[in-house]
Amino acid sequence: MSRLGGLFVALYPEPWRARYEEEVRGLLEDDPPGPRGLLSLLWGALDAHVRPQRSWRSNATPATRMRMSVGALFACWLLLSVAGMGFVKVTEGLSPVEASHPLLRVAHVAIGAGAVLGALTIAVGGLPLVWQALVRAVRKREARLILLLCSPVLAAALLAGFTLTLGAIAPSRHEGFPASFVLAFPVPLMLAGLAFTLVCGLAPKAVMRRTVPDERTLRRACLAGLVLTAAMTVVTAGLALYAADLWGSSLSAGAPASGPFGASVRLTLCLDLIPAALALGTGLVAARRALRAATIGVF
Amino acid sequence: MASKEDGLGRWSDPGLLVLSSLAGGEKHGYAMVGDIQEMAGVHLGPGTLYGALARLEAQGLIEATAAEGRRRPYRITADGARMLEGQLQRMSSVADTGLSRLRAAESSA
Repeated sequence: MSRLGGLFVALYPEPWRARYEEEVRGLLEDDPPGPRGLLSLLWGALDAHVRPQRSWRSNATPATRMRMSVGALFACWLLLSVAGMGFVKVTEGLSPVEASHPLLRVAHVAIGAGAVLGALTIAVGGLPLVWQALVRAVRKREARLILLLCSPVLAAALLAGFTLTLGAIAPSRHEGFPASFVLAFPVPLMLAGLAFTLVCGLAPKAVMRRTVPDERTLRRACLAGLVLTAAMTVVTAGLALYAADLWGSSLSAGAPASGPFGASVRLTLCLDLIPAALALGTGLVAARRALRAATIGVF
Repeated sequence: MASKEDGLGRWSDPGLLVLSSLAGGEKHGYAMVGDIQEMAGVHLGPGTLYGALARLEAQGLIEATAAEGRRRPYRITADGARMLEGQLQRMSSVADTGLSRLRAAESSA
């Protein structure tokens, strides 16, 4: 448990760890945490990211703050992408409904446009950082860094394979299985999605911690992060509009009322909004910090 | 000693517990955890404890002293002592009022 606690301490922001890590590790040795203690560490890490305190935040250099913020923004985008993939899956058979509900079509187009804008922004702002990290990893033969760089792709492949496998073997309600059995199938999928999100959220931060990109590249990434936040806002607003309009509309004949695993399309879309809103909220905080760090010394 | 049946969240506020613990003298994290457990029957997890320490330190209510190896003791500041006294007096006033009303209700029943 103490070792797991030590791993959770690594989730805290870098300036926090510079100030408190040694003490906390000492406490974990003296008083090994149980499950509740581990949860308190996880919650504390989230709190430290969302509500950084002046006492340890002031230790961070602008470059460190930019690195942290960029890593956080990328993680938020990945979380939003998971919600987006869920949206795509759930709305597969809803074209007939969109044809008769213009607002749904507008929302769907907005989500698509936001996704494209976000992907382009990631390419412009993020690829130079990834390239610098990759060059360093190859030059210094840092296998762990290479693994960290590849981990989101590997995790995405695993999640896709798991989803397809689960979709193939999951029975539908119409095959005589009880609803409770059918609806249990989304649970491992949600857990797999959560694991994917954790990997994709932690890997960029770990990469940013190990590499030290130059400030110019970091500033460019921070400014790209602002555009990324706008894209995330468009996607989340589109998801909310789609879910709200669908809730009030009647599904036309032929369109499925049930999404994957038999869960209601409307309910699934509403649940899909939760990670999207979380990603957007955290992304806005990270973008604000990124902008402040990137403009220190400029004005 | 507070029991699990207490539904009054503010009584077990981590910041308040840390200040109360430090009012008895400077302590490091492990000593605080033990003291709070004994005083209030509450076991603060490491995340909760250091979240409270970070907030209290940022507000100037506590300050860190010289580290002893991996352990760094904290002490309450003058501002922290003032804040704690004010809070405890308010809580004491509420406690006294609540108890006297309960006794009055019992005697009239």
